[in-house]
Amino acid sequence: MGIFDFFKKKEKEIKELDITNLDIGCILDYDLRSWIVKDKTEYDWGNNQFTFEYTINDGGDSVYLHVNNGANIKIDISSEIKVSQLGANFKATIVERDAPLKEITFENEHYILSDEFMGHCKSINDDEDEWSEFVNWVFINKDESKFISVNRWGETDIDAVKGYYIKVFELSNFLSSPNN
Amino acid sequence: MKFLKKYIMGILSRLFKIGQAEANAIADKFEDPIKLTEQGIRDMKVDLDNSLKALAEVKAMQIRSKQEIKQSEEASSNYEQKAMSILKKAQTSDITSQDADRLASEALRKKDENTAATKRKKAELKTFETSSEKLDLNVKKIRSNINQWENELKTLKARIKVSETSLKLNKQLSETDSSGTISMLEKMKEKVDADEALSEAYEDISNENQSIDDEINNVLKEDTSSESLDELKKKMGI
Repeated sequence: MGIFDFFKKKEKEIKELDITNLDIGCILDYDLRSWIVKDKTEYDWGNNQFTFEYTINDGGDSVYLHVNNGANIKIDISSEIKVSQLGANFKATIVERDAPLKEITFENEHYILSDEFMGHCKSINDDEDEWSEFVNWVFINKDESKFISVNRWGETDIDAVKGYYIKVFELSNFLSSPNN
Repeated sequence: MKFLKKYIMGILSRLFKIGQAEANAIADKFEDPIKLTEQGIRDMKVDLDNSLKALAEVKAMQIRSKQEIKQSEEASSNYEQKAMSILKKAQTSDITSQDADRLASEALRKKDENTAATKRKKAELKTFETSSEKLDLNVKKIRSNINQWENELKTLKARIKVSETSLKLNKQLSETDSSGTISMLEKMKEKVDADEALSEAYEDISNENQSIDDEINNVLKEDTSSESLDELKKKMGI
């Protein structure tokens, strides 16, 4: 470092954003709409397997953007549905047998049980020890383009989302939070 | 007097031009194309950063605006529903028709307020969308320019490197020609030529200095050799 380098104005690096490094307040484009990141949740699936999920909002709709940043990046978009939409006995079956039905029908489409996971999750705003434990069941449709994900947080605390898989290129124009 | 004034002004103007030319020459001397290009790229990156911030702000306002439109539309619908419920209650005599009219009117006034707010927000949203599109284009243009000039900089650096190497090489070659090995070899050649000329000159002088005895001896020497030749011919029967 030369003596005159002291007076040099440091070059400001522009942070290159992508789907893996967004923070709350960041903006991205998807489906010809701009979405703002409202929350970020980290998931720990055990065996050193981690994923994360952004809650994004376009001013009207709010959806979850789940990112599995493994060897091959996998992204899905999901939105909440009522568990009752999965069948009258769906919730009761889980409560009684600690396991769901093997097959379900949702919006006239047939889904079969594909995976069962045990996981922990927390929002990035939560404290480090505020991990919540849950059991997750994933149902997929025939061509594996859509899924139903069901989470059980407690004895009767069960929620569900419907979703579909997307490609990385479908997300674009990542912008830092205007409040930073 | 007028002529003198014009003459002085002319001189001053020329002096100013000379000063200007000298200043430009000095400025040119200090101009480093690499550094100036790097500075240009840095300036463009600052512009990009500012444009990205502006774009993020406009998009955030756009999203907020959509949210507010949704809220005011819902509120408008709710107030209309409330006004209808109040009028129904008046029909079933749960409240007086006077109270029902007053409350329903109030609910409709609120509904209108929200409808007006929705209209205003929609106009705002349109403005934000237009600004967002313009800023987005600007960001893309700056990104493209940065990309282009970063590539140009790489080419420029390579060209300057080649130019510097060529300059160094040419300088070496030119220096070698004037006072280097070739020059030394030329001098050596000249020296040898001079030595040879000197030697020949000495020989000529030496020839000129021969005595008459030396000449006689030389002739006789030649004769001796002629005799030897005759003897040999005789021996061979020629």
